[in-house]
Amino acid sequence: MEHIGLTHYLIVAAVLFCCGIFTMATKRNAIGILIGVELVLNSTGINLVAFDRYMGPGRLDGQIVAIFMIVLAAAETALAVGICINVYKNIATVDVDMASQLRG
Amino acid sequence: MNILTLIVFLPAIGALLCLVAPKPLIRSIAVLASLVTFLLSLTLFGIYFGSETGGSSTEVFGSTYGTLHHVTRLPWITGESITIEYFLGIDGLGFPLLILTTLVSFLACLASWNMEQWKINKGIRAYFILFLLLETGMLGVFVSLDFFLFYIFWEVMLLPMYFLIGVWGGERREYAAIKFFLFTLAGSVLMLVALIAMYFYSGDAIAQAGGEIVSGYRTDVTLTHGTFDLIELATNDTIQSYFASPATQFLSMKFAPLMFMFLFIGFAIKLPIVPFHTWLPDAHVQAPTPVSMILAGVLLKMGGYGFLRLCYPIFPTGAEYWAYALAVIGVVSIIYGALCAMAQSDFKRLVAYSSVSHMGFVLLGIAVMTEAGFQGAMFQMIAHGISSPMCFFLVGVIYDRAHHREINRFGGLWMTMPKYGTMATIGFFASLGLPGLCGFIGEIWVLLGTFDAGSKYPWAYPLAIISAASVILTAGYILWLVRRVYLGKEKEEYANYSDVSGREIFILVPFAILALALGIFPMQTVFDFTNGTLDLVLAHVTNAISVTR
Amino acid sequence: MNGHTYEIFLALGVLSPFISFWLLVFFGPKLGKPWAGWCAVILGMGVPLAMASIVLWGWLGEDAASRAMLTEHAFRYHWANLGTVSILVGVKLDSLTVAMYFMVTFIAFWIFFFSIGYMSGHSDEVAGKSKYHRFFAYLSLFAFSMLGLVLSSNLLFLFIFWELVGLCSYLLIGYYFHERVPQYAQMKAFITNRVGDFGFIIGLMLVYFQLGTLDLDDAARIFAEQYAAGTGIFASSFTMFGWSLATIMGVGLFCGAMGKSAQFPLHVWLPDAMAGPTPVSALIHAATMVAAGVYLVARVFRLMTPEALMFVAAIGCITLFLMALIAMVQTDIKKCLAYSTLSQLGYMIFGLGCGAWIAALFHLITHAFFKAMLFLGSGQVIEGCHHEQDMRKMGGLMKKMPVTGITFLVGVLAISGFGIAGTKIGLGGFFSKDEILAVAWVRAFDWDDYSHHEAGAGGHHASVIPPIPAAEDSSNDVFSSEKRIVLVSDQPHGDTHTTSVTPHGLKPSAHGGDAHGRAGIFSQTPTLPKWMFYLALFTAYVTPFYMMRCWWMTFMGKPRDDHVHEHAHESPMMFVPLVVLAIGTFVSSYFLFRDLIADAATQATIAPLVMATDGAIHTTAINAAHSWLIYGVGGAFIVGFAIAIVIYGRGLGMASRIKRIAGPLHTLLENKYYIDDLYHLVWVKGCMAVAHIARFFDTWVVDLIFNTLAKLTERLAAFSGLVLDQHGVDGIYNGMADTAINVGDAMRRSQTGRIRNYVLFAVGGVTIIVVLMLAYWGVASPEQTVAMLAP
Repeated sequence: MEHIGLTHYLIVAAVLFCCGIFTMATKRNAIGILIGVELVLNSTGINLVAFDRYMGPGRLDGQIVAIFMIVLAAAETALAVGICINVYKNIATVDVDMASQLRG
Repeated sequence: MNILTLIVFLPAIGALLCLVAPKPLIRSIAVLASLVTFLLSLTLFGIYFGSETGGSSTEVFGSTYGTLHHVTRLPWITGESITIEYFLGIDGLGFPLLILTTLVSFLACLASWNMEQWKINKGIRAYFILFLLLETGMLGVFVSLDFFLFYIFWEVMLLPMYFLIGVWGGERREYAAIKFFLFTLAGSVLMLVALIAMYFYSGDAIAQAGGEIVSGYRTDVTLTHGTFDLIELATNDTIQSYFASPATQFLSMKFAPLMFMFLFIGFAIKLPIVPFHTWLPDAHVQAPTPVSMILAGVLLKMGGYGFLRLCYPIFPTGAEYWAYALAVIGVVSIIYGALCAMAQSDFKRLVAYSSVSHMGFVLLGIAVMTEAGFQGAMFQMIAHGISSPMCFFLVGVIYDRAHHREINRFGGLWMTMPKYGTMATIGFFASLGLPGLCGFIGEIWVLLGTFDAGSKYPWAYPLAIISAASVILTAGYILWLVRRVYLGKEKEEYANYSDVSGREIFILVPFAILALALGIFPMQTVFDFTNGTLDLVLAHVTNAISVTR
Repeated sequence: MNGHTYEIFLALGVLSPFISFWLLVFFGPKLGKPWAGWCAVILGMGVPLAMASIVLWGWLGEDAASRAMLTEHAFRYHWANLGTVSILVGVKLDSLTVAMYFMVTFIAFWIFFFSIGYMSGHSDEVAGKSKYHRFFAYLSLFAFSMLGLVLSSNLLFLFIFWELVGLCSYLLIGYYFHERVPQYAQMKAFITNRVGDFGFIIGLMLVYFQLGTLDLDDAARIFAEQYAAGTGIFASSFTMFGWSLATIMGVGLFCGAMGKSAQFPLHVWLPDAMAGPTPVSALIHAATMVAAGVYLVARVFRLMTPEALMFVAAIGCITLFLMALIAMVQTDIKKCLAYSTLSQLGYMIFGLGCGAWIAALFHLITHAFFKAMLFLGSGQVIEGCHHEQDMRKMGGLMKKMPVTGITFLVGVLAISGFGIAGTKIGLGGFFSKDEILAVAWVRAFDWDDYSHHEAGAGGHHASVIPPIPAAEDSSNDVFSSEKRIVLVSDQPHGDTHTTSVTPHGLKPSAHGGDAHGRAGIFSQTPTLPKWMFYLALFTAYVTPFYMMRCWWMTFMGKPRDDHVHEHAHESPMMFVPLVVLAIGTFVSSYFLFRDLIADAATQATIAPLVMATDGAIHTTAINAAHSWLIYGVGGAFIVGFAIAIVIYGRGLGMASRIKRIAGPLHTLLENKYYIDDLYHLVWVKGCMAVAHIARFFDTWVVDLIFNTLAKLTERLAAFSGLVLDQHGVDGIYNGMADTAINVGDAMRRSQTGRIRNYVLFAVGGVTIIVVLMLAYWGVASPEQTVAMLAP
């Protein structure tokens, strides 16, 4: 078994990222898209932690940014879910294609 | 401040006041402004009665053409080779027309008093502002002696007139206004060409003479480049001989006849003469009464004034060249206008055509270049400036009541409105040329003057005789008109019409008095103020013609 | 009286009616009826009559020399300059003016007076509004203009007043303008007069141009000088219809007279003018204004040439004959008088044309008196008969209106030339018309003998009397040596038969010296065509006929219309003037006027080319001529009256039989030779046709050209503005803008608003960038990457 190195982490993050992108690109449900966004964000978090661990040992820059990012993601999610609920209230669906009232 | 400047711009100041005045005060301000202008212009009589000049004939008129009074000369636009001056002054040509303008403007302004009862009674503010601006333009034309300034005033006057006809006119007002505007503008274009050409050619003349010449009428002044000074252009021998020389050409035609024609057409349209007269009936018929009064009383005179101020003194050889054609056109206008008037059934149109006929006398009198002809033409302008506004106002009075102008539908008005009938008799008989009223003097002077020209121009005899025949035609259409409108049985529909109001009488009476005064004392009322200058102009013209011969 | 007293009095007399006019214009309605009338009578005519009487009295007291002085030193006011010629206005003070002035004021005064009575019976209200004051205002204006005309020393002023009397005539004919006939009559009068004025203006132009003045005396003087020197108007070789320029000048001036004095072919207006009130007919269209033409010819006599005078005579002759014939068939009493007026005016003009200057003017004055009276009498009749003017409905009025009937008869006798041949007893026309005919006879039959005789005499005197160049010796003129004899033997004026000629203010040299003189004039003056004399003589027989016919039909015989007859009455206000004028007819026939005219003739007829024959023809010659003529003319009235009484003595039966026999001739006369209809067709219709053509031309040619031009310009503008500009120039700019929009549109499509699309774009974009980076830098191993990233 080979020593697990940076590349592995990066591959996991890349897969996660692609999943997230794929979700965002295919889902019409706002919650689904939100999940996709979360995936993308978390893949980035993995990358940050991985690079911190392997590229600059002894410094906690990457980890701090990752924590910071998690907090932001939580806030963002809260906001996004709030919008979703309001959208649902207004048009009785969370299908983003239906939310076209502001379209020019 | 020079009095002429004040007179010219006083109406404009009035217009500014109208701009800010509260609505009920506007017409009072306008009437006041025109009244003050009129009173101010009366002070100009001082030059004839001593306060300015001592009053003797030679002191007033000088011994050569170009003796001016109340002169203002200020450089306006000056450059390396251009001098445009703010140059005002009056002499025997401008003075009587200036007085006429202020008087007719005042009375016409008063005639606008009942504007609220017109069909189109909106925009009182705009109306009076335009009216006063028009007056400024007209006054400017008669006093400005710099061609450039003259041209500007000429155009300034055009626009208010356009709006006055086009906005407050009758049913076909837009058509009439545009027609008026385009006709006059077409003339202005030719005038503009002449303006530019005269400037450059006078420059050429000076360059040929060595680049610096002494002024023709001002001591201590030398000219180094072309000029717009109308007096200078006429009196400077160098420029005059260069203009008159057959070698001087423009568009490979002789300069003087061509330029004369350009200017002539510009003024002839205004006069108007056949065949450039068709704007006049339309403009008159459509224009509101006061505007018709101004149009007939003052605007037409600008044509005649233009001849006497520009065409003849500056291009005497051109005058000689075209004399026959001009006289023929004059006679055609006289007869043709009278015939057309006879066939009209619209009251205003008839009066308008009679203007064409009367203005034909002006052209004829000027064209033959005799003393009596010039004097008669000038008198005819003044006389027509009194009789025709009166006639138009008379038409307006009845139009205000009946709201139509069909001659054949009227009848018996003299019985209905006795005062009006009396005034109408004076007005229309003045127009007819009845001795004792103003129309007669001008006509007979022109006829005799034309006959007098027979020694120079043999063609003058038949023309004099043909135009004398117009006395029959004129009597024909005027009497026929009077019979149809004023005489006859009183008609039911007009029976309850009120006679002329105090305001209307106030407007008519000055005209009536002047018509009588001019007819009885032509010398004291007109000739004393004009003949000196006219004789000088004529002497200048004939002298120039004999020199080139 | 001395200095300018005469002129001041005369001028005051002119101004007074002018003031009256304005008073009536402004305060007329307030004065009302009848005070407005009295204002006119007193201020408008009373004052002038008083002035005229004073002047006449004074003037009669002056001797010849002081009269000449006064004439010469009369005041002149500088009115205006016509070109370089000064126009001086003043009073032409001579015996003729004084006589005319007095005649006009006297007759006018009584007619004004009559008018008050006349108007009181006439309804002057139209639709409840009074025109009363207007009538008297116009009369005052007329008085002003007529007196001004008589006084004018200047041709231009004569013309001005000439037009003003025309205006008054116009206004007064149309006094009843609410009716249709007067409207047309007034227009016809004014316009016909204007036709004459056209000639007058041409004459004025020639006077002004060739003689260089418009003053009557100056013009005559210069005319004579130019004739003597062969310059000016006599230097011109211009001819028209074979007339020289001088002749054209004379004929032109005469044209004015033709209009005002209603001479053929401009006579048509006068009968129609009878539509005016009767006092107006009496004053303007019988006594004064129509005589102004005769007065004008008399005044410009000195500017005439023999050819021009021949024209004058011919016109006068034609008029007097043709109009007398029409008068025979008229049934309207006023029309009948109007045609008789025309005929008598023809006599005057004819007389002037023959050179019977004194006789013609004398006839003017006597005629003025009796014709005014006749018209007033007819006015009385019309008024009395309930506005009936048809004589066929009258008859037997003598009993009802004795004063009118008798005064009317006096008028009839006067116009018919009643008198006893060979004696000095007669009335008006007996003297004046006879004299005209006598002169005509000499001119037509005896001229060759006579002129040779006189030419010889003239030559004889020329050799006896040395040439007299000095002006102060002017009393010694060539023709002073022979007495100027007034010809007709039965003249009542014993003393005035001989009048010595003293041409004041006119140098003898003006006559071309003795070489020309009278002899020269005699030889130049042609013989009068005989037909003229015959026509005039024949008409002298026609006149009594139609006048007696008129009187008989009106006053004698049996009443033909009971209604009219019962109504007939006369009022004192109206018959007083009749009596006064009847007396005036007597007086004027014998006293005063002929002397004054003969006195004026000495100066007013001194012409280089023509002469007042009655002043120069020898008594013996005229006596010879007159020996049978005096009975031939003097008895004419007997024949005329006899025929009239025979025909009309027993009612209208015989007349209607004659009418049937005469047939077409009667119809021709009744229709006035169809001249009116011809004029209407040719002039009125023709003029209107030309006017309509002019209007058509103006609208459809001149205006159309400009409108077409405008349309074309508009089309061009439409082409350049709509087609060229919008699709050409503007197309480019619009194209650019369109492209921008299209591109923008295309771009916009990608903005779907769908997140997944954006995500895909983002991924796609990133992929492309990554691929490009890889292509550029190559694929790096993780170690290389790590090394690259390592700090």
